Amino acid sequence: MKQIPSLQLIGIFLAALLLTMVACDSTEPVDPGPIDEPDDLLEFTYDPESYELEYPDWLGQIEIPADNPMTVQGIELGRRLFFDPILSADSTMSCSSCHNPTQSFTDGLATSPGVDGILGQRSAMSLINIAFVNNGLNWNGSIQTLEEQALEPVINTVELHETWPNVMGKLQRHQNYPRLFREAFGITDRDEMTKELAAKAIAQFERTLISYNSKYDQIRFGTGVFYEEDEINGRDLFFFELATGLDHPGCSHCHGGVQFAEPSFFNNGITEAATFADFPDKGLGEVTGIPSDNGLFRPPSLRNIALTAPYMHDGRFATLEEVLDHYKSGGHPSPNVSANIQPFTLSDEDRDHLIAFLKTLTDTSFINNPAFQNPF
Amino acid sequence: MKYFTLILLSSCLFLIGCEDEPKEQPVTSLDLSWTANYDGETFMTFKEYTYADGRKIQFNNFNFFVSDIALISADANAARTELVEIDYVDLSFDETQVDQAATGKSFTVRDLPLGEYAGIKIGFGVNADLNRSKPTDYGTGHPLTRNFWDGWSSYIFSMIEGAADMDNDGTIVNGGADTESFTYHSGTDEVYNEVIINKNIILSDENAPLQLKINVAELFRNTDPELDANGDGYLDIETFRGTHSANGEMNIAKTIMNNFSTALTVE
Ligand code: HEC
Ligand code: HEC
Repeated sequence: MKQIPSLQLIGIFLAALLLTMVACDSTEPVDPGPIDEPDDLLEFTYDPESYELEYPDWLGQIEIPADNPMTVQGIELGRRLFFDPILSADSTMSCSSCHNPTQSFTDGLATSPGVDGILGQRSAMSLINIAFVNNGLNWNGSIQTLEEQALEPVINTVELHETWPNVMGKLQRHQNYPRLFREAFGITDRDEMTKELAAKAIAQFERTLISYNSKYDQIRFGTGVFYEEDEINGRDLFFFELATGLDHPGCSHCHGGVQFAEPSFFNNGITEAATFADFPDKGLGEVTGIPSDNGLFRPPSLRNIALTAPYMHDGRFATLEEVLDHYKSGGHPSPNVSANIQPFTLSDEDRDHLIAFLKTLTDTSFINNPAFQNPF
Repeated sequence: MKYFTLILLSSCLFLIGCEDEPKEQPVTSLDLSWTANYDGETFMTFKEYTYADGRKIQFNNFNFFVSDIALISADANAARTELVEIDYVDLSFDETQVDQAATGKSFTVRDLPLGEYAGIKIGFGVNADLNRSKPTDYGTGHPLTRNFWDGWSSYIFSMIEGAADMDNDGTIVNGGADTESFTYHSGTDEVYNEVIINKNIILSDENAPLQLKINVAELFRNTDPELDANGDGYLDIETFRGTHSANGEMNIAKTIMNNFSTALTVE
């Protein structure tokens, strides 16, 4: 093979640089290529401080991927990216537009419009205790890891509707991000800033979104806090089968455990369908291709549920009262509705008590945690 | 230098130690494969079968836990060789999953000593020790991360869910106000059922899978006259559409768990 003399190499490099600069002038966004010197980030120190997630044992186990250890710097970068509209095509929306801390990282809408104002098919999900979800993310479990998930909203046409090369170009040209990427991941050159690293940082931030300070937690695992009488009755209606036969709410079949979410998928009877093919949103079936999985969805955690109306994957219920009226009625027939969805007796008083119990799952220290707020 | 001598010395010791080791016993592996049938027909979810009393029945969920599966050696001391401590067996496959329904759920046990065994022991349910634990004690993928029942601090040992033509009008209604569904959830230590099947099993270098077959129809057998209005020897599912192993329904849970003894065949 012919050796390329080093002088010639420099020439090629210079030409490329020139071309890049010319290209940068046009409005067409392009990959900026090398912006200046190689190893242009060495002036910043890379001294990552590892971060230990703090949560009690009884809350479960978080598995941190070996290739994305948590660091203070990684989390900080992730938080910035999460709240920064730089991730969207027209700089109007960020992740937090649909996952807003004050609403426990939801947006209060049935389904959410993206940057083009087009409504998505599903309702934005709360990110509370998201690190404990291990049976697939999204309503239908379509994505396995937070790292993979974070790549998706940027390119989703009904969400941020951008391209990753564009976003990375903007981040590489930004006055702070190159330094933050170096501090988090030890890269030495802006060119090494990748969407994968951006996603890793966002995932690190999301893993810190942990809640265990609701009234429920304080009563069950703390001391000195007690339920009101209506809340106790509500708790018993939620967890226990007080009546014989099938006449009971049975919520904990699918919302059991300290996360109030069984790691599985169910059809909770909100959609009438004559056959497996008739569900407007195929849910889990879209992922597995198995017809009897159509119409199955992941029961979301009910933590902070009082803050995340409207409810269900399509946001069809505006209030918890409507949710309970649905369950009480036995829902709608379809071939694979869970057998645990059965009509049951529930007086108005009991309904209020169940809701009083659900409200004990509210953790305001979570939504007000300074570490979870917009840093800009 | 002092350390060097020490290391040298200990490695010598190590080598000598190895010489004394008994010769490794030959080992083999064995596949256990769980399948379900309905009176001999491959069991599939969302498929209609005929219940003992003639009505149509379909299932949408069938799963159970098994604990402490062990082979019992053929010699006088009947020593037990543990195969599986705990597993979750979900046999809910629909009619588009014919192959999976036929192969069922299988797992491979490795490093088993070759030899002759007189039988196999299987605990249906979660053994009392493990039943003190809860899903948060385990990491992703562990069998015990699911089907825990807060109200009773127990795992749900077996779940049989579906619907049947309860009003005998020829159709099964699933969901809604007129749903004809049933749910049998059996759990708590009281209903744990340890079964021993006597069967000559010879483990050699290559072994055919051990087939563990559950006849779901058999799980509904019942000799308690109170639970069987027409006296046909099976649970009256029209009257007793569920159990949650509580409030006087314990007998149903117990009956179902006990029935695993006769519902199981090992081939
Ligand atoms: C336009 C609104 C919108 C924006 C912007 C948005 N999301 Fe979402 N998010 C959703 C919706 C809707 C879902 C449910 C998607 C589904 O089930 O298909 C979701 C689901 C998720 C989930 C899964 C939650 C769970 O419990 O499984 C995570 C994690 C998440 N989003 C993170 C992000 C991140 C990170 C960003 C920014 C990069 C982002 N989202 C931007 C609407 C949005
Ligand atoms: C058979 C399983 C099952 C049972 C029983 C059940 N749920 Fe659900 N629940 C689900 C599933 C699955 C979803 C998500 C469904 C969807 O959006 O399609 C859900 C959603 C919800 C939501 C909305 C969550 C959100 O973020 O939008 C609430 C609130 C809720 N359930 C409360 C209850 C209560 C209270 C009970 C008892 C009366 C109950 N559930 C019983 C499976 C169940």
